[in-house]
Amino acid sequence: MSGYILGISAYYHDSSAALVRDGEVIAAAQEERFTRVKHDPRFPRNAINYCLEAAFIEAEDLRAVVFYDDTLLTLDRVLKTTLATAPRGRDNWRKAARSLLGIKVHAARRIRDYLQVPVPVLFTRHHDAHMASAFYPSPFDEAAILTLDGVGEWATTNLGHGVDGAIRILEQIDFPHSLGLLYSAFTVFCGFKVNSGEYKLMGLAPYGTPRYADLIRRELIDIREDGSFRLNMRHFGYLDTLCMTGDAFEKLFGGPALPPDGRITRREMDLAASIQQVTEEVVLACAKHLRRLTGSRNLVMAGGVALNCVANGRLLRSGLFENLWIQPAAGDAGGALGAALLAAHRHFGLPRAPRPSGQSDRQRASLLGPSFSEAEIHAFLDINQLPFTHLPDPGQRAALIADHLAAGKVVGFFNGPMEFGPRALGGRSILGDPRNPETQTVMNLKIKQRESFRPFAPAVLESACGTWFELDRASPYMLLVADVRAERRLPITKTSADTDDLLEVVRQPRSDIPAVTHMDYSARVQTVNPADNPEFHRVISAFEARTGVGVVVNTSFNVRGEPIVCSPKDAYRCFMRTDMDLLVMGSYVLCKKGQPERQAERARQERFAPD
Amino acid sequence: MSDHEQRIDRFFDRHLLPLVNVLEAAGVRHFPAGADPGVESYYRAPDDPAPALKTIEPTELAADLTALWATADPALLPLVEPLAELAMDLREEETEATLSPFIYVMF
Repeated sequence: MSGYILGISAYYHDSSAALVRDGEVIAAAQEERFTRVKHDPRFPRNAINYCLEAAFIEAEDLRAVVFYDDTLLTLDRVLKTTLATAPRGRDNWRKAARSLLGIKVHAARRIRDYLQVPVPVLFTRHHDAHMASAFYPSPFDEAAILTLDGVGEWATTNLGHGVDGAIRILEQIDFPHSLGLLYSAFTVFCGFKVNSGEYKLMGLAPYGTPRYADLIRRELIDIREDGSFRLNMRHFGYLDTLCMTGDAFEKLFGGPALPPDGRITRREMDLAASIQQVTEEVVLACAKHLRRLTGSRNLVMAGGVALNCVANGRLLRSGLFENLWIQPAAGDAGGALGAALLAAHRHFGLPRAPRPSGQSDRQRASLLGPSFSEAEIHAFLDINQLPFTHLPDPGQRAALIADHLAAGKVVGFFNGPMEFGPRALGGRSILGDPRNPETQTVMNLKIKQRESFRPFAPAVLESACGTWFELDRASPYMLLVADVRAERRLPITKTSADTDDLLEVVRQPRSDIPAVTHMDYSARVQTVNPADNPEFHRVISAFEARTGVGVVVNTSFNVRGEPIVCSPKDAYRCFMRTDMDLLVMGSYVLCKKGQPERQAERARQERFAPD
Repeated sequence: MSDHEQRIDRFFDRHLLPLVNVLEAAGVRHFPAGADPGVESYYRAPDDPAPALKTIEPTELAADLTALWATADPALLPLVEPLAELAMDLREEETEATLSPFIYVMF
C-alpha cells in the first residue's frame, strides 16, 4: 500500500513539517517562516497546512504522522540528570517537566486533534531521524552515516551505515558528552546566541589563533583516537542550571563570558579558533573511525554540527571518503523529513524513490517550501497598489538583474519555492556584486543592519566553480568551505594581530571577489546548475556575460532577528525596511524609487531585533 | 508561582529528592561525568541497532515507563504513577514562542 507520511519536528527549536509520498520527498517547511518568529519551537500548524496543500491532499489521506523524538527516552534522560544533580537543578526540572509532561507526552493527541482524523502517530528517536534525513535523500545506495548535534534523547553522536532502505546504528555517544553542546557553550561564552550564533563563531575563527586548543583538550574534552570523546562536566552548567557554562569555565578562560552584542576582543577570536580546531579534529577522527567500520566510500551527515561547513570542507579535503553529502536542513528542522522517510522505508517497507531525472540527489535542491504563482504575486501588488514593471521574458529579467548588480546595486530575489533549511539558495536571496570591495560593508549595514566580520557566501556557476575556488565538485547547499584559488588572492596587509579593530581587517580586499573571500581566503561555496534552479542560473550567467565573473553574492532574504521571507508580503516588507535597490518577484520587478511613501514610513518605524 | 509550577515543585520535593538518597546509597550512577583513563573508546553499542518507531500515548505512559525501567532501572519504578498523574495535570496546549538565547533547548 502506498501513501503519504507526514513528519513533524516540534518543541525543541525550529519546528517543521515534511511530507513524503511513497518515499519521495514532496514538501517541507519550517514553522518560523510562517509565524515570523525565528527558530519557532511551537506546533507547526502552518507548515503542516502548507505540506497538505502542496500535495492537494486532506488529513485523511495520511497513512501516518511521525514525530521526530522518543519522548519517553527524553523523559528518562531528564529524570536521571535531575536525580544526579539534585537538590540543584530545580529550575531545569521545572522547565523540562512543563515541556515534556505538559506538552510532548501529549503530542499524539495534539496531532490528531489538530488534523481531526484518527491517523496513526508514530515516534522515532531524534538521531534516527537525523540519520534517515542524511541517508535517504542522498544520491547513494550505500553510505556511512555520521550524525552529531546537541542532544536528542540520550544520543549526541551516532555512527551508522545505510544500505538501500535499511539503516543500522553501529556506535553512539550519549549525553552529557556532546560536541554540539561543547560548541554551543563557546558560542554563548563569546557573546552569541545559542542555535543561531554557532555560525558566527565559526566565521570568527579565522581571525584568531588557536592558543586555547590544548587547554580545551586538557581540561574540557578527552578525545580518543577513534574520535570518541567525553566532556569534563565540572566546567559546564547545563546539567543543573539554565546556563551552558559555569564558574570553572570562566576561570579557565580568564574571566566572564562576553555579554550579548559585546565588543569582540582577541580572547573571543582565539577561543573561536581554538574550539573550531578541536571540533574539526573530532569530526575527522569520527569519520576516520567510521570509514574503518563500514569500508564505505560515501559519507552522509546530519545534526547541527554538520552545518559547520568549515569542518565539512576539511573532511572533504582529507580524502577519507570519496563522496560526501550533507542534509541541507541538518538541524532539528530536518528531523521532520528524516522521521517521515524512516517510517516510509523502515516501518512500511517502501523502497527508496529513484533520483528525480536530472537531479543529483533526492532532496530536490531543497526547494521544498511554498511557491507563489504569477497570479498571486500580481494580486499582491495590485491590491496594495504598488508600482512595478512586468518582465515576462526570463532572459530580459536576468539581464536587468545583472545590470543592477554590476552597477553596485543590491537586489532582492524572490524566485520559485522557498528553501528548506537555514541557507538561502536562490529562492529567497539577496544578491550583490562580489567584485566590489564595498559590497560586504554596504550589504551588511544597509540590508542586514549590522556590521559583520563574516563575508557573504558566493553562488557560482557549477561549470565555473574550478575557475574561482579550489573545489572539484558541486556544493549545491552551501555546506562546503573551499579556498579561493591562489592566483586570485591579494596579500593581506593587516591581520587581527595588528589591530583590535576587527572591521579594519574585514575591510581589506582579499581577492578579486573580496565580498565573498574570508580572512583565510576561504569561501562558503554554493554551486548553481540549470537543472536545480534555472532562473538563478540565468541571473549568474547574465552577470558573467556582463562582467566575466560567474559569481554573485548570495545572502538570505531577511534582516537581523527575522526568519527568511516566505511570501510576497514578507519580501516586500523586508525590501522596504532596508536599502535594497531592486526587488524581483517572479516576473515582476519593483524599484525602490517610486514605492509609496506610506509603505516607506511604515517600514522605517519597525525595529530590528538582535540576531 | 503558577499552579503548574507548584505541582512540579511538589513532585521534585516529594518524589525526586527522597529518591536521590536511595540511589546514592545503592551506588547508582546514570552517566559518567568525565574522562576514564581505563577505557580505550567512549563509543558504546546501541541498545537497538535498527532505528525503531513506536507509539506514545499519554494514557499508556505508566505502562510504557514501567516497561522501560522494570529491568534496567527498577529503583525508578516508584516514580511511574506520580509521573503519569503529573502528565495529566500539566497538559498544556502550547509552548513558548521564543527560545532562550543562553541555553541549548534540551527537552
